[in-house]
Amino acid sequence: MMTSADVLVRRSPVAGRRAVVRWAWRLFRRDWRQQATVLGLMSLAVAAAVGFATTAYNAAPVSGKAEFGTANHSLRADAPDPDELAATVGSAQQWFGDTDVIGHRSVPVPGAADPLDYRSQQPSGPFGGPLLDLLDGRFPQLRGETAVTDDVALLLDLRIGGTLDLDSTPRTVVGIVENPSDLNDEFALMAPGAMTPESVTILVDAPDERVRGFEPPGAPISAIAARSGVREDVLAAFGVLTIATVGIGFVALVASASFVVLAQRRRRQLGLLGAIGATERQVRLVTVAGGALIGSLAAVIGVIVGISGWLVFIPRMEAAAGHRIDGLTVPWWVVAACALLSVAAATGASWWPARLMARVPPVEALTGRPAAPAPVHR
Amino acid sequence: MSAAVQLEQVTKSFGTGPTRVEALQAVDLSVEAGELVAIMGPSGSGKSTLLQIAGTLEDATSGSVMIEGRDVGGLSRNDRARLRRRTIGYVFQDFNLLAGLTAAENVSLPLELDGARSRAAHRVAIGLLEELGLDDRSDHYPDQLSGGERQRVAIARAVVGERRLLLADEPTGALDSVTGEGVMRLMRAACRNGVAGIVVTHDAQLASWADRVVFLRDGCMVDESIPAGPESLLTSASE
Repeated sequence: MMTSADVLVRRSPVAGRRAVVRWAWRLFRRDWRQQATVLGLMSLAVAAAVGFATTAYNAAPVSGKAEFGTANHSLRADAPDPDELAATVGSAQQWFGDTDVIGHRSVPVPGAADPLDYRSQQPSGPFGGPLLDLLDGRFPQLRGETAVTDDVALLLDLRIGGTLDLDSTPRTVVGIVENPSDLNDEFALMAPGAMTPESVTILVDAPDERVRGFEPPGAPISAIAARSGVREDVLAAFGVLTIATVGIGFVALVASASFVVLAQRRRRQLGLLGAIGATERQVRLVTVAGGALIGSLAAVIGVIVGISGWLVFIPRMEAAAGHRIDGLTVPWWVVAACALLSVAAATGASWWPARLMARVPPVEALTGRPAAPAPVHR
Repeated sequence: MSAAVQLEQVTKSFGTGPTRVEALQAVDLSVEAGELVAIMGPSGSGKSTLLQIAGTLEDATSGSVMIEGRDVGGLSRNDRARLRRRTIGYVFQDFNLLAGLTAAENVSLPLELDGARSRAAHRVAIGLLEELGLDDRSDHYPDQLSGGERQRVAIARAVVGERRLLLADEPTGALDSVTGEGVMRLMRAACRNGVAGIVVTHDAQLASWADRVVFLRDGCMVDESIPAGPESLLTSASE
């Protein structure tokens, strides 16, 4: 039979810690009802942090997405002469290489205050993807075809197969489209070259110096816009995370009081652990491991609840935010930060009670004898 | 050879000023390896305090405590914990098993705290429980064991790890007489294997299992005797 001396020949530095953590886990399972409130509060704080941060991240406009697509500069040229515009576009293609050209013409709508934007755009353009999406039917391909946004269809009582005729050129409606980055953007889409534009927007992805050096021979560039380097969505999520940190910190304070009570209830058991030879660090680990366990569970529950809440909330969010939202567009770095924060806060909250209890001499803990009062210093 | 535990002029007082209580006054006690010493005395005589000081659970106010020739007075808290883990086994009146751990896990815990790997420590614990007739109870939790079984588990926990000093504070106090005799028999057997034992008891019959009985009164050692053994008590009772 193996003797005690045999098993102690090879000592493992983590064996003691593992045994203590195992006991902490058993105690947690045994006393989970007493810790349910703390676990609930922590989970709620993490869920709120994850939910609100994800909402803020998605509600904030994606910097320039509705204006630039995936490009970083937008150049606008206005000219009544289509040849001048064509010269400018051709020159831009030579100067920048890849460009995405969107033609515009304002067409008055009888009975409406605002004109309708007739827009020609290549659906598979290199930069304009985030600006165009097909909801129904197909994109226009011929001169006599168009696709309209749902509000335009509603306003003009159009449906697929109907005819749009605002500029004395009848066009068959072949699809329903939208700008997913700006749901308030209303327009009628034509195939490239299917209409005569009054102005063009040229999307390019080029350095500032290159854009500033562009001098077209035709219609002059009337406006240059550059995409901002600031990411509002990241800023919004970071802001919420900062507020969440304070919130979780407050919850950790409440948790700390709860850990004190729990540690007091386990005083005798912790004293016994010390009596059979556990070091202060090992006794401390029981309470700290319990805190870390609650933090980890709260992180898992909070993330699941927060993300689930977010998924339920998405349909209402899109209308409020004014752009399409992908349910999987979750700022995972914020989620990971909230989870880590939960573990750190609960572990930190349990640290002080753990330290206090580990310093109680085993006999005092076992007998319930109060500690000797500290001497008064005047 | 040095004594397993040696107390010299040990004094312990609690409180200050008018509320000061002298729990122990200049007590000398030496226990050799393989010897079982019983400490008797009325309530409040300082028996448990003496045991706690011998077990490094409590500091003496003055005097010296040597365990296997080593003065424990200068040891840090962690060094004392290590000494308890490796050298001293403690048996309490109310068993004091850790809730949430099975009988085997309670026994193997001191080994694991000392760095033994879980599986190996568990095997040792199972072996020890088998020796104490608890092989079928090793997976039971303390609240599933009877009082006698709990105390046997506590004794197994106290002797596991080749400990050389076994301290028991009224280990039979919560047990019936038959179970109490069984517990004393186990302690006696441990001492035959070279362990030094000190047992605090009120029961003269149980004290007769010891090699020596020390009497305390008001913190002072007032008498010492060598009992004739439990068999002699049985004989005299039948006469």
